[in-house]
Amino acid sequence: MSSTVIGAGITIEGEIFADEEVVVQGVVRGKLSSKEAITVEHGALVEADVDGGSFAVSGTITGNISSTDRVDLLSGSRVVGNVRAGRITIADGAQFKGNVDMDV
Amino acid sequence: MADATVIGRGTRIRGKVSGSGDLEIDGQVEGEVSVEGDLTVGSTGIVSSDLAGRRIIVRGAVQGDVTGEESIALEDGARVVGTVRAPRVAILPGALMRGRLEVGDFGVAPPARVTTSSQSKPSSPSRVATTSHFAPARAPAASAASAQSRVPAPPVIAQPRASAQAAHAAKRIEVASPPPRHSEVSALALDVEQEQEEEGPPSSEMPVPLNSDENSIEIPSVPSIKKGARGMLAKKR
Repeated sequence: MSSTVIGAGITIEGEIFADEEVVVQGVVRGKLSSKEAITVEHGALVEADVDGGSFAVSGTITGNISSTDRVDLLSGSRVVGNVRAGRITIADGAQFKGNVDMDV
Repeated sequence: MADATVIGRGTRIRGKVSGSGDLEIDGQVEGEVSVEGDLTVGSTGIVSSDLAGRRIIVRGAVQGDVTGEESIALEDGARVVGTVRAPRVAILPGALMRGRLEVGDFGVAPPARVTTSSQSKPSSPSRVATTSHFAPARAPAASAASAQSRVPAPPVIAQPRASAQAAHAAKRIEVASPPPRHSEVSALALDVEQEQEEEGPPSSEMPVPLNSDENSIEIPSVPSIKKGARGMLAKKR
């Protein structure tokens, strides 16, 4: 398996740079950057600016999201921060506060 | 939900990684790693930080202190520079290590060692003296010991377990050679080693761990090496 998983009990304080898919189930504070997809699962807490490919968010993100592909804020997600992406979906039940920039 | 955390081989982390649960590092980590569960540094893992976990398995590169609450295994492909500290440490063929090795109980009681009894010698007066060394604990243990010294039975059991373990740990620690800490002075240190012996014990500036008397390696500190080097040069002139 060539991806990074940050499990539910784990806290990372600092910078994460990945060339591969990242799945967050735990806590990340600082900065998270990946060239591939980033998944923030239910119960996860990300207090960081996040750069990545496509995003699937079910957990909580406090910080700005910048995507080269798309951002999907799924039901149960909670995002406070600006989102910059070509395509964005916000599902029913998602909480979002911030600006959206779709490069128009 | 999968509880296992994996830092993939394409991932670099600069900062602190902590928490409960198991952790596998196949990527690069710079900072501090401290988990309550098991910790594995895979063959592609590169860690330049202190590591702490319950059971630690290393197959990759680690620069920093490795502290295992239960055990540490340096497996094939491991390259470790730093202090390795755990109640039980295994260094398997193919593992490389440079640094201090501390094996034994450091406040944490390891499981009882049956193998120590085979190394113990049969009854002798010195053994009885050793037992009486632990006079404060005379109540149950020493009475058993005195009972055994009356009856000429193998009094292996009478020996305090702690000292037996310490002796065992000390025995095992002898396998590791005292490592040069600073590569730039290591060549010098080889030349200077004899000078140091003449000048007496080196000034101990290295942090000395608990019960260092028996299971620690004397690592000559840098200033003393330099002092030795000056001494050597002075003698040459």
